[in-house]
Amino acid sequence: MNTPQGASPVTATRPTPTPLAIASLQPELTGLNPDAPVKLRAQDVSVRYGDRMAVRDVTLDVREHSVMAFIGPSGCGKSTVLRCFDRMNDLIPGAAVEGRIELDGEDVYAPSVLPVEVRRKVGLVFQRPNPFPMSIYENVAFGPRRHGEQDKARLDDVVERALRQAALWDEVKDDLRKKSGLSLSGGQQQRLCIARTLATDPEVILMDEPCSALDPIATLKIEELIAQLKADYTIVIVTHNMQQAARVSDRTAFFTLGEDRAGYLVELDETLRIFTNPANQLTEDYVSGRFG
Amino acid sequence: MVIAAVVLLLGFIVWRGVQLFVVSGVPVTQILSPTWQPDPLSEGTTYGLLPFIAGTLAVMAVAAIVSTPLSVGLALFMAEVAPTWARRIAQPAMEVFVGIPSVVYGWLGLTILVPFLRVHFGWLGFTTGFSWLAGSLVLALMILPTITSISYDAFVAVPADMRSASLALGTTRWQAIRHVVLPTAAAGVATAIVFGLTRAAGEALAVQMVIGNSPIIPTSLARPVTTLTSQITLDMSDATGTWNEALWTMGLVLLLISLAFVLLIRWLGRGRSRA
Amino acid sequence: MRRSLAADRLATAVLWAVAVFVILVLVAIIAYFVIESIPTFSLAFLVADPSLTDIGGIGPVLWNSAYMLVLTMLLTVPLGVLGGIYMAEYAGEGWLTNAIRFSQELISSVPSIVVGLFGFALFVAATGWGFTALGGALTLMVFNLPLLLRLSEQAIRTVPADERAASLALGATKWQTIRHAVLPVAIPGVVTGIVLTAGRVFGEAAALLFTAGLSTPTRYDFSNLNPLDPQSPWSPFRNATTLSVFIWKSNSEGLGNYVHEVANMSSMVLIVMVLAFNLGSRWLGGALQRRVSGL
Repeated sequence: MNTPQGASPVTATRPTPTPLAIASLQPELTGLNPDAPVKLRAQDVSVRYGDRMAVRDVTLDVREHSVMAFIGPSGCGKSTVLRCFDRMNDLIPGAAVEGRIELDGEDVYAPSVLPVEVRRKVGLVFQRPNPFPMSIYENVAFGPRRHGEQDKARLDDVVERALRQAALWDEVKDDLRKKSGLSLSGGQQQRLCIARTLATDPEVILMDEPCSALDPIATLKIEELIAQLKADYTIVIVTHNMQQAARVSDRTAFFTLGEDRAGYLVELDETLRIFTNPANQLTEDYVSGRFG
Repeated sequence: MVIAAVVLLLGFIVWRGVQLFVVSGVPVTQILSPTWQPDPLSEGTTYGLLPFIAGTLAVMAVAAIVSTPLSVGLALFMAEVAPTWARRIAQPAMEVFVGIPSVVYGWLGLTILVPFLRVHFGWLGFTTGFSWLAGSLVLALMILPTITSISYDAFVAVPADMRSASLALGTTRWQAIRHVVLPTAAAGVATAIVFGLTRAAGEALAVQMVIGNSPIIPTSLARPVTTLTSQITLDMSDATGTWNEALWTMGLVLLLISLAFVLLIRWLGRGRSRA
Repeated sequence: MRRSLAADRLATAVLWAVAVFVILVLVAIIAYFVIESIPTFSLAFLVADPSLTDIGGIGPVLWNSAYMLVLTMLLTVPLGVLGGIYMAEYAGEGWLTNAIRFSQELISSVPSIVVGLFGFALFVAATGWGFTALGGALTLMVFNLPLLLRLSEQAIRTVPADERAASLALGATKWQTIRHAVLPVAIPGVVTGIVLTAGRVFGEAAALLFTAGLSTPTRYDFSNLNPLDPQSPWSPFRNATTLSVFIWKSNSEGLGNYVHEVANMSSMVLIVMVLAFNLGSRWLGGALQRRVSGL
């Protein structure tokens, strides 16, 4: 695959399976290990914004150390479902989540569970890079500091590790404290945001179209990063870009809009199968670019 | 037109303001004297403006100290915490606050605050109630909407995804406010406070009505003091000669104070646009 | 973890408390004036002449406030709106524009008493008019003009660039574009600006002390229509104590047996007026907005 970020989904042809997608045929090397425990589970989840049903009856499992991609047309509720896992939907006035969301088998929406605790375990990387207007160091140290880490040596350590994991360390190590996070390029900013999330030591990383504001080269770097992070984290990524889903994910969930304008889950399967031999005609139409 | 007005205004005030030194030959250093004895009928006139300058700064400073926590708190409430219904109450309320004319605040201070201080805090030295504190409290109320609305704008200008970023890292709302919103909006809040100070320094009638107008260096919150503006208000209609010139010099000092504030606001604004 | 949650709850409670406190203070102020005024208030108060022995009324000073308002706005509005058009449409980024902006900022922060001094020197002493309504109005213009200029500039700037481009693309000249495409859309904002400025005229006192005068008004003879006769209520060349100045004056001089009642009622009238202006500007702006977009 020479063009990391292809044309828009509408003109996309059926993608050739990428090395990653082929690798996913060997379950023990990938996130397709059927014995891996379920990390995240959505059970009959529906989300409303006020009177409007945004997405309904979603049921899916994400296994530990795997990458799941959510694809589908705009407005089909993929980001909405994503944000159920870290309870970020709580912040939208009028949003109501029905059904059950589990993290390690425990109900994330149980009354005794604090959203703050959930969000520490489940990190979120936003569509547009949003570093804080502070130094690179302070950006990464933000989470650990807020969670009570005072020790300077340990903070230094956490910051360096997170930046290394996010493949940003070599580019910024000389002016960690001098440069503002905002002075970095878009791609670097997004990797900084990933480092910031990693520094709080999450178990799951949610990514909401993390590359949509980036150029192809920066996109490629983030995709490589996702492949590496999979070893230690469970990742769910929402993307508009089907090639990206094909390149980075083990399994893919396809959402679309129903007659009632509410989104729903059409099909969930191994990525390779979704893109080569989907069970559902809607999926087939979407991945082959015949979708409206 | 606007420039002409400003140039004319500056020219006039400066010209009339230096008469005291140029025409009447009062040494410039004398205005720093703590003694105000302008009455030509008494012996040895001294035109020390220090009590007025000190009074203005003192009344202004205490007003800002009282007003800032309340108004920044209210702005934070409106921008970060308030549910929609509460915001619907608070915003028009602020507009009402802005709309109340200053003489009305002065009248309130005179009929409620001053007697209250005299009756309930007489034992603390508020013998008449007219005092530095009374002036500052009236001013604090007057500058509250100014500081609130400008810092509210600064808070609202902090991008929403900064807050979400902090919350997504598992911080509480207060941690997001304290460590993201406040630092990001700091220059805007500083500008708001300076705007408040500018208004406080220039307010005349409301302060004059409650402050007691004693030309002494402020030492106690309970004692009457005076300010540049209230002395001008009081004396302008009957002061003549050198005394009158001294009042113009006070006007000039006021003008310089507000000029300093404008430059400060510009400087803060520049810092903000760079960040 | 527990500590940060406790801090969060505490901070939220404190912010709520601050907000409730401030709103209560405001409600208390308004309630105070309403309650204090009700026992003595009557509509006659609005039109009667002031009295030293009785409650009297505020007829003449209310007339003066209205008169001053109209006079000031006649002077301010044409210049302010045209200036706003210039600043929004024609002024480039040069030293002149910068100088105008700096002047605007400076004037808006100059204490009104200093503006009053300036007005006194220029419109009272230098012209030899003495204390006159016109002098007062010109003084008010000194700080109302920059305000209106800024408000109307902002209103005009909010007109989307598309509207301009569409008109220019049809071959209209720049002035035609402003006249027919920009102004109709900007009018709600401009009107709001005018009404807000007018509200300030009503409330201002310090700048008028030494320009429009302090003398206690006597009975006005409205049949005297000679605009140059200093006795005529229609004349701009006469003393014109406004309502705000009147409140200050009756307190500082303490004249009359009913100072307290008169000041309370006058304050209430003043608050109601200024509120009416603020609410009116919002309502009018909204109504015009609907009309403009409905057309």
